[in-house]
This record gives sequence, C-alpha cells and structure tokens, in this order.
Amino acid sequence: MSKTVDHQAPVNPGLAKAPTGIQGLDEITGGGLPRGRPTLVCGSAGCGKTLLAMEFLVRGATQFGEPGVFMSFEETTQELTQNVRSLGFDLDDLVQQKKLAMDFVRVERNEIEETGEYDLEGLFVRLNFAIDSVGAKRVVLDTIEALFSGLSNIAILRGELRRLFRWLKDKGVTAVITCESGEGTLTKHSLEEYVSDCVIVLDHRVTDQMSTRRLRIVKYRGTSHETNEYPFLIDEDGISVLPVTSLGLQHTASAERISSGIPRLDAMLGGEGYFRSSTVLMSGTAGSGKTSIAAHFAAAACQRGERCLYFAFEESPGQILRNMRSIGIDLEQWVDKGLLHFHASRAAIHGLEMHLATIHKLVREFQPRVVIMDPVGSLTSVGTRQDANVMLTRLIDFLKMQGITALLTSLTSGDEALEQTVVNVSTLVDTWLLLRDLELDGERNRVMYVLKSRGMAHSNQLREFLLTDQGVELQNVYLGAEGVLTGSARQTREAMEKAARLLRHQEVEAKQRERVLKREAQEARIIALQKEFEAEEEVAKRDSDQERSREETNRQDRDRMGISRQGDKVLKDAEPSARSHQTPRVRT
Amino acid sequence: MNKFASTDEQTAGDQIVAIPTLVRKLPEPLRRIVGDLSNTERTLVGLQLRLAKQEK
Repeated sequence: MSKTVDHQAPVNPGLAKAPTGIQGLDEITGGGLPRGRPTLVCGSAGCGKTLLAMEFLVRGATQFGEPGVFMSFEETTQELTQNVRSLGFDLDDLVQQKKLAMDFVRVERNEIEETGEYDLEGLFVRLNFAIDSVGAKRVVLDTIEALFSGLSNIAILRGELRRLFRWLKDKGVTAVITCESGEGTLTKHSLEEYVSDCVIVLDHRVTDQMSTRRLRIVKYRGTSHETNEYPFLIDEDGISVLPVTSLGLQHTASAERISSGIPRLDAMLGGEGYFRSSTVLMSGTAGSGKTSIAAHFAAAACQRGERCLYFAFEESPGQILRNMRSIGIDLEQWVDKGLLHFHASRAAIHGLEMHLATIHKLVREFQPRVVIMDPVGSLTSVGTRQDANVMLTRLIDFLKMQGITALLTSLTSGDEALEQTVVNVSTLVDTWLLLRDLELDGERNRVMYVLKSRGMAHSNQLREFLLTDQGVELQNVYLGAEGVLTGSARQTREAMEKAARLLRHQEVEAKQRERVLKREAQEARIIALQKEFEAEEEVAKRDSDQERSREETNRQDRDRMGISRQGDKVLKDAEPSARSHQTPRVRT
Repeated sequence: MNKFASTDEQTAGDQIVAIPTLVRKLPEPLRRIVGDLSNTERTLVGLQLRLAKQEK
C-alpha cells in the first residue's frame, strides 16, 4: 500500500496531459486527458460518447498536431464520416492529409464459429498498422464491448483486453475507450477494472420532459479534478462542457460606476448609478415597468459604446422594440449598429442547463459588457426552484467573473410577499430595485425604491415613476400627514399646496408693502419733528438775541442816566474803552 | 481460399480480429472459424460441412 502511494506522489505534479480541445473539458480535467494512458468514457446509448471521442481526435489532429486513429466497432467509416460532417468535421480530408486513420472492425456473431483457443492478435496488428501509418498519438476504440457480443469466450476476451490496454500504454498513445454503462456498474463488462487512469461518465437524463446531457469525471488518477456533474451540449460546434461550478467568489470588485440610464435613479443610487460588473435585480408585479427600466439600461450601455446582450424569455425582439419606441426609447438603432443583441427564446424550449449553456456560448461570442435577462423567473417553469437557483447562481458567478454588469428582472406574483423573488437570488445580487403598484383613489400608480445596494449610500425614499413619451421619469411621492400619495392624489395635493403657498406668499408681500409704507410715514414724521425743532430753535435764538440787545440798551440807558446824574467816577474811567468796542457790534 | 492472416492490410480487409481465423468466403454466407480448430465438431459445423446437433 505505502509503496504505491510513494510511487504515485512524484507523478502528481508532472502528470503530462493531452488537451482535448473540447470547450470546458480541459478546464475541469485540469488540462486534458492523461497523456499516454487510456481513458474510459462510458454512458448509455445516445449520450454522445462517440462524438466526444471523435472530437478528441479531430481537435488533436487539427489543433495540437497529434494524428489519431479511430477504430470503430459499431459504425462503418462512411457512416461516421457522414454523422460528424454536420459538426463541421471533414474526416475524409483528415484521412487524406494522413492526420487520421479509420478502421471499422466488424464482429458478427452469426458469422463466427469458435473452435478452441484463440487470441486477438488480429486486432493488435490492425491497430498497430493504423497507428504507424499516420504516426498516431491518439487512439479511440469505439465501442470495444462490441467484441463481447461477437465472441463468447469471456475469459479469452478479458485477458486480451487487459493485454490491449497494457499494449496501448506501452505504445505511449493517449487512448479513449468508449463503453456502454451497465446496470449499477459503470460499464456492462466491468472494463473499468482495466482502464483505471481516468474514467468519464456521460449521462443523458430526462426530467420533466427536458433532456439534459451531463458529464462527470469519476476518477482521474494522479491529478486533482472537479467531481461535479457538468451539463454539456452538442451543437454545430461540437461539444461544450460548462465548467460552471468551478467558478468561485474570486471576482474582483470594480469601483467603476455606470449609469442606469435614468438620471433620477442614478441619483438614488448614491448619485452615480450601478457598480460595473455588479448584479442588479429588479422585481415587481406584472406591468410595473420592469422591461422599461431594463430598456433604459440597455440604451445607456449602447450610448457608451458598450455591447449589450438582451435575453428575452417572454417577448419577441420586435415586440420589445415596438413597446420601447412608444415610451421614446429607440433601441433599433443600437441593434442596427450591432451593439445590442436580442436573444429571445421561450424558457420552456429546453432545460435549464441548456439555457445556461446557450447563455455561456452567446456571452463568449458576443463579448457584452451588459447582460439583461427578462425575466429570470420564467426559468423556474423549466426546472424546480432549486435547480433554477443553482443555475442562476452559476450564471451570476459567471457574469461577474467576466466583469459583466447584469440586470435581472423578476416577476412577483400577487400572492407572494414583495420582498420575495420567484427565485431566491436576492442574496446574490448587489443591487435590488423593487417596483410596486400603489392603489389609491381608484387608480394604480407605480412606485419604486432601492431595497438594497451594496457598497453605496443609496436613497431610502419611495419614488413614483411615470412612463412618459420620453421614457421613465421618477417623481417624488407626496409624503405628508395624509401618508404616501401618488398619481392624481399626489397631483391634487401638490396643486393644493401650490395654491396655499401662493396665498402665503401674497400675504407676506402685502405685509411687506405695509411695512414699507409705515416706515415712510415714520420717516416723514421724523422729518416734520425735526423741522419743528429747528423752527423752535430759531425762535429761541431770536429771543435770546433780542434779550441781549435789550440788556445792552438797558445798560446804555443806565450809563446815560449815570452820566446825566454824574455818578461814580471810577465806573466812568474804568469802562469807557470796553463800552466803545461793544457798542458798534450790538448795533449791527 | 482459407489462410492465416499475417500482413497488415489483409487483417483489415478480411476483418480479422482473432487469431487464428479461418475464413470461408465461398460459398456464401461468409463464415469465420475462430480458434485453433481443436474442436473438430464445431469446426465442421462452422464450415457448414455438418449440421449443428441442436438443429437436427
């Protein structure tokens, strides 16, 4: 036991791998199939084994310069060539270029009579010849179990197969061996006992009338690998596996903000709009305007010159274009410019995995910066709620990893709480806008608010939003003593307030005018008083002057009387000079 | 007419898988007698020189 562990440990880091070139498969196997070793691909009929094996060979020959050998036990070379032509694989051409050798091994039970001991050296010889003829590095045996139906000596067959796999290893070719899955076992004839380096199981399941192909790596010796089931699809480009669960929470958060296309909404979201590569959920009841807001966002993205991918699950592109034109959003110009791409499909046309696969494929092809899904809730009609949740989680992770800003709309049905979405993605999204209807006074009005928006200071206010000819307009709702009012009630209320305001204004003006008049009157009175005072002063001055001149006159009279009476001489000598000075002034 | 496959192209052309294989090409239908012919009874049945016992 310990020996094998010791032996395997050093193999681990440097295990050589042969890339398959199949989209997604190399990611979940960590680089491809084990180089120089056989890989077992098992699954039930029609699950895509042959195609997987063929794509492995064709991609090897065309992309990695490794020629291959396809040894078929079930289909003839012509049949195979025809079958894969629809996928764009031209096998004839590859055979001509000596990049591919094909050999059909026919083992018919009714032609064969076993008469004793034998071995399968003939198979070895043919395989060896084919490998040497093109210098093959890759070999496919499809489906080797056909031997069991043609030959009856199980003991010999088992021994020979064991030898064959050993021989393939010694030959150093990377081999893919396909086989049918059995009841309760991986393969009908327990081939996994011999091929134990890598085992891949394909599955084709039908749930609720929806078929989904899935791939799982059961075993991969000497390497770490993803163990989950991955959906895969077969389309005109071959197989693509979705390594979706290998995504994680490693996406970097962008600080860049992008406009929602509605200025007032941007204002509600901290003034700048959504974060780039964030996920925005918009939930609301029927007819609450989800698509209109989504269309604004799409138009804004296109205006910035970014590509936008619009998945419509309920309306056709023509319908959306027409409806948005009616509210003044011209999306058609962006479609014409190639910036906006619609992908409309009913949710019910295929399973969730297929939807996911389609979305992945389109996103990779179109390389959008903005993805809109309208509405995601309809996906639950395909699978169970849980499946839809898982799928959306994967999708959101995928979009975030790509740095794509996603806007998902979700319909809230009447009997549910508004804060509950059909699919429980609310914890995954970064911004959640809630649209709802308010019924009041016999009319129905739309309101919107930001339920959450991670990493930004967002408004907690309810906004009424109106669909006008110029698109969506957000209005403040009336919040007052009478509660929240919207629509005509709000307008009435606003008109009343306006009238009241006008009245108040007029009153204030009248008061002001009165005050001005009053002041003018006061000032006039002040002036009058002043004049009065001045007049009084004038009179007082005049009186005092008169008084003084009278006194002078009196003195002169007294002097004259004194002189006439010949009074005191001292007084007469002492005073005449002063008197002579004063006299002319008084007179003037 | 009956031969042991030995060269590369021959194995593919004659659809040889097991060795040794004895191929009866004519008369039709084609028969392949696989093994070392140690079971004479089955060899004769395989070559349709004798009817199989259960068919009697």
